[in-house]
Amino acid sequence: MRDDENQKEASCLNHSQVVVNKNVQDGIFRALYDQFTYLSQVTKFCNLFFLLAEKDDKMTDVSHKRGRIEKIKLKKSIKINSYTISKALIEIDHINYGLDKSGRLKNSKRSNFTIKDIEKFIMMLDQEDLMPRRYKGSKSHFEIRIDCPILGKFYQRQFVMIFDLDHKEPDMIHTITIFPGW
Amino acid sequence: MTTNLEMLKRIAKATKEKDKLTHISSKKELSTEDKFKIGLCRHFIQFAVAKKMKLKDLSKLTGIPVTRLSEITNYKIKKFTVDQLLKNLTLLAAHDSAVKAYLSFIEQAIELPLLKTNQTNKLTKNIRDASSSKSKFRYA
Repeated sequence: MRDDENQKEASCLNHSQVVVNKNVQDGIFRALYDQFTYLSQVTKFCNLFFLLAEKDDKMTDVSHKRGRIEKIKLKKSIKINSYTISKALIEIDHINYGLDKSGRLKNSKRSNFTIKDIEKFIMMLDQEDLMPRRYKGSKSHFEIRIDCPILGKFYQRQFVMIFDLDHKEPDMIHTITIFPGW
Repeated sequence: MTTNLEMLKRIAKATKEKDKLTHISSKKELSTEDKFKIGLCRHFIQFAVAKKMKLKDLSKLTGIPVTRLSEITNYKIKKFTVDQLLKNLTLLAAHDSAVKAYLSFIEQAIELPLLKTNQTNKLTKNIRDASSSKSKFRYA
């Protein structure tokens, strides 16, 4: 009888040990699973991060490249909004080629303006009072429609001109682009 | 320097609002009335630029609607008569002593009797000198 009881007790103990072992195993599996899911999430996040960084790198590659930029002294100083302007910064490639949707310069030309032609556009702004479209830091952003003053090159056709005036450099006009506005 | 993506946004916005933009054309074809209107519109721009004000703020100050101010500051002169512009400028004069003085100057000039040609020319020359770059411009 006692042997039977002992056997029963032993089997009970074994059973409880098995239960405990199973619980521990479950716990370990759960912990492993959690860790795995956490790791997979981390990997996913890392992948996303690297993807974004790569994309950002691609963007920064062209973010400021707008081709040839010329700095010239105007023949005659002009007055815009009470600022006397004697110098101009002209993005000639941007004017003639334009940008595509990704922000790169296009391959084919849309116009064939020279630096002197752009100077004529700028001279048309003499004695004008213009309302900036917006202010950003020390810069005033302007967008205007302007009639082309160059004979033989879209004469009297309307163009949209985008330029900036910097209050830190009040004698300089930064002509960013001129594109057809018809 | 502005990035290319910012630039693309500016270009897209300018293309979209093309009709609202200020139109710079040759002044040879303008009539006296048009030149007078442009002269009146200038004061709104000079005031806003000097105070670095947006049209919204100027609208709050004067009570003139933003759309109207946008038309004035972009020289849409075909949409206004001289008296409408003078009426709006009077509203601005309540907040700027220089504009007020300018309006009283216009009053005085209009009340002048018809002068001899040389006298008128002399007066015109004096006014031109006063507004030239040699003189101390108010907002300079």
